[in-house]
Amino acid sequence: MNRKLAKVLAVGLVLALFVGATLGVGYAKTKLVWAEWWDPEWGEDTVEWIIDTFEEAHPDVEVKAFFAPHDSYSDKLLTLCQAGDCPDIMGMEVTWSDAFNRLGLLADLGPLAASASDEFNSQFSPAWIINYKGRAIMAYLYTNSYGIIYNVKLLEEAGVEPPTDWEELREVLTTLYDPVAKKWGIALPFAMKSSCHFMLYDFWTRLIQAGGHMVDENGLARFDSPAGVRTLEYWKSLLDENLVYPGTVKGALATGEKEFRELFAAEQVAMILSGPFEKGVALERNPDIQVAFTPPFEDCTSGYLLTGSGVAISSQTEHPELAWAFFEHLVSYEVATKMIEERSLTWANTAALGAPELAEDPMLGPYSEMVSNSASRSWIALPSLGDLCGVIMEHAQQYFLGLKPAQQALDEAAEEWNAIVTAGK
Amino acid sequence: MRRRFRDRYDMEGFLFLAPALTLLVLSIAFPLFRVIQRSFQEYSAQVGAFQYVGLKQYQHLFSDPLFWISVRNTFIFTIGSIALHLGFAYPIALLLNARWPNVKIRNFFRGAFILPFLFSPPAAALLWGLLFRPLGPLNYGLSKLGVGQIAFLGDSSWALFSVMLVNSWVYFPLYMILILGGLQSIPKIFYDAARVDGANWIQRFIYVTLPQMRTLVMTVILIDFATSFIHFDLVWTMTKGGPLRSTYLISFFLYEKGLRNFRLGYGSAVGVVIALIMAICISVYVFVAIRREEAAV
Repeated sequence: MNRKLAKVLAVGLVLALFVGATLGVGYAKTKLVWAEWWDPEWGEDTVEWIIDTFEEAHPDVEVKAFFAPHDSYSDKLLTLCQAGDCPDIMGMEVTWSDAFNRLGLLADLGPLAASASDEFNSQFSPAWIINYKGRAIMAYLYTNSYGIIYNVKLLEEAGVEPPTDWEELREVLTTLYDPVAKKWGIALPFAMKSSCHFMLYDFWTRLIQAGGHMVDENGLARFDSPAGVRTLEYWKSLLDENLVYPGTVKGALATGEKEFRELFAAEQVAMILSGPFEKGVALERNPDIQVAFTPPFEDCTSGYLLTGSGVAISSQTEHPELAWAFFEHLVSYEVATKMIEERSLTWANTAALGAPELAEDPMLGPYSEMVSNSASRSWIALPSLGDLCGVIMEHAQQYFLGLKPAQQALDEAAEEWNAIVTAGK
Repeated sequence: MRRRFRDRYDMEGFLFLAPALTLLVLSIAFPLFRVIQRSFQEYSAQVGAFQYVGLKQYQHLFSDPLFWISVRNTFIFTIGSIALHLGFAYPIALLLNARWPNVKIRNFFRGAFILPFLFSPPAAALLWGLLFRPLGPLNYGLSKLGVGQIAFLGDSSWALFSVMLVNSWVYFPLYMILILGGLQSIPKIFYDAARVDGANWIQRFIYVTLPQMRTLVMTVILIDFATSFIHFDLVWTMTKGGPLRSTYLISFFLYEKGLRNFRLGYGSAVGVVIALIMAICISVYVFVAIRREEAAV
């Protein structure tokens, strides 16, 4: 009896294992890897919510997020892709796209977009797809401009109104500057480790306002102009007047993005020059902080740099349609509404952006004015971006330290810039 | 002749060595050969393959001012790091090897001095980045002493020394342990004999400790040279080569040109030059050290 029972149990166990394994194979989910740098900006909960809502609609798909910090993101991703392990869908900046495209790592979104859903077609503007060298290589998730962001409470406590132009900014900074209490109105990341922040945010934005152009249609330098000199002179004057944290030029050259974000979130400085995503970054560190964009500035022009961040689909993916479906989910009305309301990001969904209450939003309100200005300029894909940022930063630092005049610094930077761009083509 | 060869060498031994030797050839010789080969090539996106370009990569490299800046900085960083490592490690190892009134306290310090080595380089970079801040604790202390604010990482005349100091803080425990091990292996009888001859502690150090430690210190310097010369993570996290390229090392140059910009041919040429510089420096050092040792004997 005991032997019979043992036999029955053994057969049952084998059957159970077989059935389990077969079912397991039958229900194996398709894996989709999403590379992103947004955890600190959107919060890990938001990233998980995006994945969960997609998986609910696609129960046979499992999305795995691959996070890397923004400053090391493109390097890590390129290493992965060169090893043949490219994530299916990748967060992408326009400025990095040339490097990925040159290696043939970006799928052409054109054919995928042609078979997109009706909902997508009705809510996603074709202008949000980036075409480069005849191919649709990436699409924006959100667009933005860089401007002065301020801490509402700190400005109210100091009894000053938000500045409306660059000279008013200087006045506000002068008011906020307290050398005894060691308080400054603004922190600017002028360290070499944040050279791309300086070039894209501080230099390029101010250059457009000064009436200049960064590059021509071939990516060659045009910043070695009187407007470029005016740009550098403005930032140097703030440094020389001790209005920038920590009150010395050399100290400012040691301040990176990480430090300036910490200082802003900790309410040690009242202003920074950055994009609307800083609200999310600051809220992650200080849930009580209230931030807003100043009204759009005007110098020689009132234009801004039009930028954005988006996603690309890997040419190595085995599931391009699923990757596209995930992209459609990212720009869906549901996700867009959440990102606009909670993170103040101008999400790429016309239906969500059409909400009238957005004009009242302290971060999004000024944005439509920035975007619609005819003097505003879009950034473009550039080869060897890290080198280009380094060139601008190094020569600007030399000027800030008084080692050479502004025009000479820009001329030398332009020469090096053009050599890099020419070699990159 | 064949017989003599067989008599001299155990052929079976070679058979046993064969798998390891094959692995070595595959893992070292082949990549080395590929890097040298690549340094004479350039990737052509149009053709989709590497093409032979002769010495173009090397010509370009030697005419690049940034390369020479990186070489200069790397030598300063390497020599400075070796000096600081030994400067910290040797005296502390001597101290920890000495007779203490309480062994438990000595053992506590032996453990405590190893602590910095437990920090990963990026963690150490973040920690020291905080300490080095213009309004950070170090500058606060200096201001209390009447010294003005120092931009440790923002002043080009301070930055390289600052990162060398942090590099020394992180890695000196490794060299301290090696030196301590060497000190403990010196036979006690040598010191006893020196004492009998009337040698004081300075003479014992000069005539017993230093000669006995010579080979070990030479090895330590070689290891330190090899690791410091291609150092990357700590300094990259702290400064990314700034300000004014004052902390820009040759490993940054290789990383930026070869990996980040995907100029694999150019990057390979940089790699070959780095390997050559290191090989020359190490050979000269070993040659001089051996000659000195022979002269001493």
